[in-house]
Amino acid sequence: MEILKQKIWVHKNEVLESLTVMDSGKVRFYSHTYLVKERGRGWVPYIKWDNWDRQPHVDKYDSSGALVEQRACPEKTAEDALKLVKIFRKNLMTMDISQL
Amino acid sequence: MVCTMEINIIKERKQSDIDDLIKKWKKTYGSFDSLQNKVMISKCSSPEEMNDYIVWKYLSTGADFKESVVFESADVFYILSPRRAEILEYLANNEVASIRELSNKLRRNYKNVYDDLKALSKYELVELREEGRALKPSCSVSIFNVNFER
Repeated sequence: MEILKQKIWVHKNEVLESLTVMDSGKVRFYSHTYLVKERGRGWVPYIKWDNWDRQPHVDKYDSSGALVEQRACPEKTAEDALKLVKIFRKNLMTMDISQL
Repeated sequence: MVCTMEINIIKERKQSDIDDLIKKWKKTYGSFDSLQNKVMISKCSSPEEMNDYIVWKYLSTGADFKESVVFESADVFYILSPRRAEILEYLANNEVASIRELSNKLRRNYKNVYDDLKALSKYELVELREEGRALKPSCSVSIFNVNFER
């Protein structure tokens, strides 16, 4: 069993925190969270892809970091999540997460 | 032609680092069970709690733990002055008990070393651990790769 924790600096004050647990080459758990450092409020999550309860989905948070929406979506690797973050980082708070 | 640069820093966690991590979680959450209960109720509400729970859970089963910090831009070079690189190199090869000891070893002003450590710790290139009244700096960076791809 192997735990891989990655912190990917996308931009100044923007990171993708990725956690993947591998078991014999298979992904047992993943969680990829895009966070933005907001002035005076620390790191705030915007979007998270994970397979909690073995159900791949995407979570959306509001500007205070509270979970506001959850949608099923295909499994994502850290690379997939990073690609999406790079494309949509300016619009993630307002976009329809079913597109992710 | 698009050229991309990526800086990948691999961190090597010693058993003492993992013990410190678990100690920190016990202080924050009380126990593994209380964190588990919290996460089961809140589910995806707190990404940090969920990740701490997962790492704690699998660490206790003896899983290997690998950590890396990736910079998708050259921002890291703003942080890495020659003096700060010297700190990283020194800490990778030597253990010090405090920032004072490190500043003495490097023959540098305490305040400047403190500021450099704070800047490096912001990007998790060094760790600052409270030990008694002192802050103990350490560096878990084992590989520092700059990839330049066309």
